[in-house]
Amino acid sequence: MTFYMAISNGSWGGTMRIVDVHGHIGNWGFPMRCSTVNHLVDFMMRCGIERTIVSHSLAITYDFVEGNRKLAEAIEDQDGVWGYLVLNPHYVQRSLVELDRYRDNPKFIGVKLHPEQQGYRLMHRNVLEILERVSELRLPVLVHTFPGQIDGLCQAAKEFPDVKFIMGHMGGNDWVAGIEAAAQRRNIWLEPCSSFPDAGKISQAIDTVGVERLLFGSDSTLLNPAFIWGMLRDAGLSQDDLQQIAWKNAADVFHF
Amino acid sequence: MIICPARVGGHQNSGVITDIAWLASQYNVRFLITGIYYGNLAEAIAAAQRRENIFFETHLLNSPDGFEVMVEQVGSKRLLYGSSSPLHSVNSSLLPLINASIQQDERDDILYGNIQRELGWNNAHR
Repeated sequence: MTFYMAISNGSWGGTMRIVDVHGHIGNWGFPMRCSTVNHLVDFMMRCGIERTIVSHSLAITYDFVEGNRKLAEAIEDQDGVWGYLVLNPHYVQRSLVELDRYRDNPKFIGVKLHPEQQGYRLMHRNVLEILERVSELRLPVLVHTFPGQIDGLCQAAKEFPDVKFIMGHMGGNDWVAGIEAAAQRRNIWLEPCSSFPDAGKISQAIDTVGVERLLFGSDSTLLNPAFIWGMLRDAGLSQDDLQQIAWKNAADVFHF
Repeated sequence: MIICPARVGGHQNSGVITDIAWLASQYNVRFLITGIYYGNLAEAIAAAQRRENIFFETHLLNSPDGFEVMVEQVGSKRLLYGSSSPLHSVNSSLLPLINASIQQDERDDILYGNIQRELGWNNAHR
């Protein structure tokens, strides 16, 4: 039996429960066929992912109101798929209306901020005004942090200590700085998905902030979840630590 | 024939594959391009469909259906598995290939068959 045959029987997570806290549906400007919620669910089944929390690409790249509406429609009847409400600080009032519109929708369990695509800094009065309301609603916030945004996220986490922030991409290429910054704030969780699966990234994150503040996120359907899971698999973790990252930490953050 | 590695990974390298495709049109050399990922996949497909002496190494092929798309558009005979180990996690490149919805003979091409053919290895080397 070859090496790859030995690890190719069944899903790559085995019997482990897995929550993917960073997913998407919708089209991107790249040649890929995996874009609908049905594609996502099919991929989740193949990989053994029990739940994925997603935002809509349209909400990030163009019209956040329409993107949120499409997401609500797409995930309404999908048991394993949950939603992030994308907010755009360039439109504060519309963002606050979005929060009110979906506050009683049980499928939306967090907020997604994407400063890179939408072109803003986190430490801006518009963002702080939105976070004030997010704090009242006690919603976790996934923040895209690549490139930059690490300092802004840390300052926002200091301003809103009751908000649980997820550092999406763990700072990207600046992941060492991202890890060190997260170590200073107990309300920041690290999420390591990236186009570059640097060896040592996971181990260093655990050594610095602890296994209880690391989450599994894949950036699916932009990235392949198996690509990110490979980093966890190669980190030499115990089954207990792997299960904590794959499931327990997310269950705590999102109250599953 | 020799194989020439050419690094193109990263988010700011649009056009590099096209430049290599031009070189491939000038020289009877097989070019093995590393670092294809979702951001340059369209350029990679376009270049490979024009030049048959372009091959791709797969350690950054990280979109969910990346292998399916490339096998469909370019064919399994011009894809070669690589990991970028020890800089990158081996399983990050291996698990997507293992889980890809492609034929087993296509997977075998990518994992070892193509490099075996290109380097003239025989089965005794397996």
